[in-house]
Order: sequence, then structure tokens, then C-alpha cells
Amino acid sequence: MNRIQKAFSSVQAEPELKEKTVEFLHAQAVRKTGTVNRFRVYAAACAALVVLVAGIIFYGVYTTPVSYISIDVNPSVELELNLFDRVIAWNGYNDNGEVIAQEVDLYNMPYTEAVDALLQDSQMEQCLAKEGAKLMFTVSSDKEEELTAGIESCQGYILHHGTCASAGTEEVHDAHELGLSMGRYRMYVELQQAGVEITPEECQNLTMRELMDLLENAPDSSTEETTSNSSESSLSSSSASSDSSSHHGEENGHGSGTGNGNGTGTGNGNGYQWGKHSSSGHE
Amino acid sequence: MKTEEEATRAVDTYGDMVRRICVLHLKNKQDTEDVFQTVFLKYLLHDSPFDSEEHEKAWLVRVTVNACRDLLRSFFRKSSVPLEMAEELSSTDEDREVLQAVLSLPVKYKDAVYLHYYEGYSAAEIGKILQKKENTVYTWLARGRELLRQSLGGDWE
Repeated sequence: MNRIQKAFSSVQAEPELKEKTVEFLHAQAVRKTGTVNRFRVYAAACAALVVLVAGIIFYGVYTTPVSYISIDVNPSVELELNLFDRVIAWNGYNDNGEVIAQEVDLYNMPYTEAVDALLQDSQMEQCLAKEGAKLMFTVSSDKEEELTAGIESCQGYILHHGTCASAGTEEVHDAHELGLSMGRYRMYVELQQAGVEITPEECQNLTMRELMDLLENAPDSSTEETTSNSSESSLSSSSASSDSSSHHGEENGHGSGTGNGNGTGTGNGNGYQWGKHSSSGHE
Repeated sequence: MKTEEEATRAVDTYGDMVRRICVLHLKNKQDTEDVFQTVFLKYLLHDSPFDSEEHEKAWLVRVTVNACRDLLRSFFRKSSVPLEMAEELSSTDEDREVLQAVLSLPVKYKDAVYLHYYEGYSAAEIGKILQKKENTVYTWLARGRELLRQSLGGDWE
């Protein structure tokens, strides 16, 4: 060992100096770790916020009705569908309809399943089993064709020879203001035009068959023709029965043949689209 | 960033060496404490791993020398010579004499002399650590040796 080594070997870091340094490093390490943790907390908070906002937007979209399907026999039940064609609400629009609406749980069901579930309800089945019972669907949607095709493929629709019509969003609004389903509102307007004195309340609880009979026996026979005629110009409907297309074609053919001149005005006034199949059939 | 355990181990292993380099440059304990904290905080925050213990040790020597120089540069301490530290630190008259002789050397010779005679580094290694040419280190060592011979006598080695 040289003299420099010997002299310098007596120089050592004091234990207090080492301890102080270790404590200082500990404090710094905690601060640094804290900084890292804060960053992670911020990142997690941002991610949670994004998920929350996305969730709120999705919830908003999911629970906003964009399509309506009205099912009328005597019970009138209307389905509200979201963007994904799933049922988010269903309302009864007369006494029978309200009872059935309370019995069934259709939430989140695809509309085709919901239609069949409604038609299989015991009360609904009883009403449909009555002689001459009329099952009518009315659709209001931007994708009305798709929904109509879906409804027409439902077992209940085929079994009970349903018919399907469509309505615009304004009609939905007007119908609901009067406390009527879309299907009943359509009949109400037609009866008014045919000169039948009827209130929305009376219209609410008559069966669809009774309403149709009223329309057929309307005092102004020309109005009936006008109504048929108006089907051609602005209203049209389709039927589910196997012979419906030919049968329906005859009816509409009659309407257009006899009342083309005076029917157009009233038909346009209704503002309905009675399904596309028969209207295109005319042309 | 290194772990707290790694930094504590470095304080234990290299604390004495860092203290001795501080003695070469600094006058009082407060400055030594500052440099200690600076050096080992840099170690704690050092991200890339060291190739070997030798690499780690050389890194600490360079960081300590730079920290001491930075500290002196920032205050009015350039002219101060830490001679009184020798009296505090050495136990025998002979050691005190040698320490005082080394501490009296010009700054640039002290590091080279200490690293060569105490830590056993070659001139080439010292050149790498202090980022100087090997020949420069040889010159410093020769001049330092000469100055020590003058103050301690011919047989000091």
C-alpha cells in the first residue's frame, strides 16, 4: 500500500451522511412514484370519461324511438323501436290494449319476436278468434319497407291474415294527440271523410272489424269509392292471406276504375301510404 | 429509473469513494452533503443499465468530479483549498501530511493522482473517465508526482 492509499483509506463517508442521502433518495423516489401514479390516475380518469360519454351517447341512441308499429284488432298496442329495431316501449291505446300491454314484457326484443309474442297473448288470441276479426299493422319508420317485410314474415301475421299499412311521422303525432293508435287514427280519419259521425273515444274501443263495417256502410256511398280510390292514389295496403294479393288487387282495381276523378283530392288529404305492394300492383 | 434498493446499495458500496473525491475538491460538510445527494439522485434517475461494476464505478467517479466542479463554479469558492479537512479526517501525522500535500495540488492534478494512486486506474482509464487525452493525464501525473516529491520528499511513493 502506497502512502496515498494509506492516507486516503482513513477518509470514509460518515454513517450520518449515508443515512441522510438514503433518506433523501427515499423522498425523491416517493415523489417520482407519486408523479407516475398521478399520471396514471389522470389517464384512467380520461379513459373513464371517454367510456362514460360513449355510454351516454349509446344509451341516448338506444333509448330513442325511431320507428313505430301499431297493432290493432280490438286491442290496440303500439311498439316503439330504437335504431336497432328492438322494442324500447309498448303502449296500449284502448282498454284491452292497456291490459295486454301490462301483461307482456317485450323490452329489448327484436320487433318480429315482439309481434308474435303479442299475437300469442291469450286475450289477443281470443279477440283474433272472433269471426271476421281484422288484424291491422301500421308502420311509421324511415325503413318502412324493411319493417313491413319483417312483419309480413311473422307467424301471427300469416296465421291471422293481417294487413300492413304505413304512416308518416306527423300522423303518429296527430294520432297520439287524440289518444289513438296509428291504425285507429287512420280509420278515424277515413270515417270522418266518409261522413260518419264518430268521436276518437268511440273509435278507440270499437273493433277494427266494426270500424271497417262502419266505413263500408257509410251514408255517402261515393265516399266509400273515394276511399278505395284514394287508396290507389295515396293510400295502399297489403294483406297476408295467401289469396290476398289477387283479392286485394280486385278491390283496388275497382276503386281506381270508378272513382278516379273525385277520389284524388280526399286521398291526398289523408296523407297515408297504404303499403307499396298493391299500389305498385295497380300500375 | 433505478429502484430505491439499488440506490441504497450504491450509497453503501461507493459512498467512501464519493466522499474521498469530495475531499479533493470541497471545503465543508454541507457541500459534501449536497454533492452526495446530487450524485446518488442522478444514479437513482439513471435509466440505462451499466455493463459491469467497473462501468458503474467509472460513471460515479465522473459524475462526482463533475458535481464538485459544478458546485465550485457556482459559488465564490474557486480559491478555497480544503486543507483544514485533512486535519479533521486523518488520524496520524503522516497521513495528515500526505493528505495535505495531495489537497494542495492544482485541481487538475488532484483527480489524476487520486484515481491513479488510490483507485489504481491507468492513465488511459483516467483519460476516459475525465474525458481527457491519455497524454494529458500522463503529464498531470508527472507534474503531480514532482510536486508531491517536493513537498513530501523523494521516497513518498
